[in-house]
Amino acid sequence: MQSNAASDEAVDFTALSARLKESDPTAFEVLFRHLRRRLVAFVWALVRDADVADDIVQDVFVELWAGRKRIDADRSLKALLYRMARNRAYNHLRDRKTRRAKGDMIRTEMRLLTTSNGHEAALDAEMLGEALNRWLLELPERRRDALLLSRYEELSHAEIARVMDISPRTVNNHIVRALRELNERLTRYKATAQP
Amino acid sequence: MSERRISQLPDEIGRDLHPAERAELVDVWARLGEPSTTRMRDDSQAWEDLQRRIAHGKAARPHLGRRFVLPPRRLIAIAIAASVLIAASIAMLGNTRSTVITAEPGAITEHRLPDGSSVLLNSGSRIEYRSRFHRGLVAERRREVRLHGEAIFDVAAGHRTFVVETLHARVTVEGTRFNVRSWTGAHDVGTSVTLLSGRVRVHAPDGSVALLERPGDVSRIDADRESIERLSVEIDRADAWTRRGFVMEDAPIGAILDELARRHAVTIETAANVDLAARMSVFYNSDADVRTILQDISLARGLTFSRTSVGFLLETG
Repeated sequence: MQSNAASDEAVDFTALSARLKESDPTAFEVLFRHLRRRLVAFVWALVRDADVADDIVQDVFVELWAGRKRIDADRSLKALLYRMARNRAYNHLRDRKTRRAKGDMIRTEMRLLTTSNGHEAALDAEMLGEALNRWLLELPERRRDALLLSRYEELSHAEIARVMDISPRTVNNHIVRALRELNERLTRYKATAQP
Repeated sequence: MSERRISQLPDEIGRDLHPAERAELVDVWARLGEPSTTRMRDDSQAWEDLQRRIAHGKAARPHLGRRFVLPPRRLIAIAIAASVLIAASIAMLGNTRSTVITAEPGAITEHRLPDGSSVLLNSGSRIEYRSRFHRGLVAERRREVRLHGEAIFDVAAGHRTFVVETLHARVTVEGTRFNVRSWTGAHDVGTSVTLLSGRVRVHAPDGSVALLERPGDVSRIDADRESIERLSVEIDRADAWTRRGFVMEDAPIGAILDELARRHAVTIETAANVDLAARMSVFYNSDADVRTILQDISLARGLTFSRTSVGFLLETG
């Protein structure tokens, strides 16, 4: 159930930005319907709680509307929204005791082990895709976020840099390291699966 | 998502890497399938919720029922076994939506409207209004509520006129408390407005207007007459129902029994030879048992009543 919106090329974020600044409610709704689901998916990848993810994104849009006059129409609106969402996600994780997050991680790892041990036949591409996705979500935060934003949210290096408050160079490093780590896990996975 | 991204590692990533290693990362990138994600509610529901949050001026707390259409904040059920039916119907155009609130037979309930006004609903009554008194993010010109039944409105001060519409009348209000009674059916058909405090204007279909200025002023529009009749009552009697009292002044027996049935959630049947058009008055200022009231009516009208499986039956004695 992906977003029913057009691809980003079809949406003129600069124009929306300007109209939003003018308190145009239609522009606000277009933006909402275009980006909301992606934002929820992104936040969910961070917090792993569907209800919380929904709430956080709603809050982001409430905040956006409240501060619409302060929008800088020259800067990426997308990046702004992802930044707001990401910050809130981490606030939530910090406020909640981190013990629980670790618990989630442990459960995921155990599931993963079961999958590789029970895996007898040759590699199944689809299962592998799933495994890769799980590993992605388990990456260290910065590497994971940079890869998520690049791979699934289609943000440019410059935009990701704005979201994460780092330099574009560092964005690149995070993505490369993320891919390297996934590559290592993939190699180990293949090794254990071979008869 | 564009094809380019799904299959190909963007050029800007890993530019300085050794080609062999980069090739491996290209492979990993390509293998990352559709992102795992969670089920989520659809955009239209979320949009409605968003407007609600913006209208209330603060972000909602996660654990409050955000997935349901909730009535405005304060909801006080006066009746013991009260249950309120809330139905939201989605309008055809744009993002406007109506809220319908019903007080079930036997119940008396209180609700807060989006502008801070409150309404007390008598048993079996129903109000309908456009959610939030907004269309999208823009406020409506007036605050409008449609009423079928009986309610007391406590209207919050505001720039916009507060309007109560019934089948026979339109009541416009500025900062006031008043009782509106409007039923259809066989008896007592029409709209009565009783001023409790403040000022109220009542508009009849024929164009005549009554201004109610003194507490106790009543305007009555009968369905068949369509013009306004003015009366005066004691305040205590007009809002006795809010204290679970039962007051009906010079009303047809049929209307009295209808009201009794609604208030106590019972069915009251009458034998064919009982004169339902005959008028009488009943005054119970506070909580009165249905049997007591039926007993008094029976005594006064020479009737007898008996219990049925669903309520009561009145017959000539």
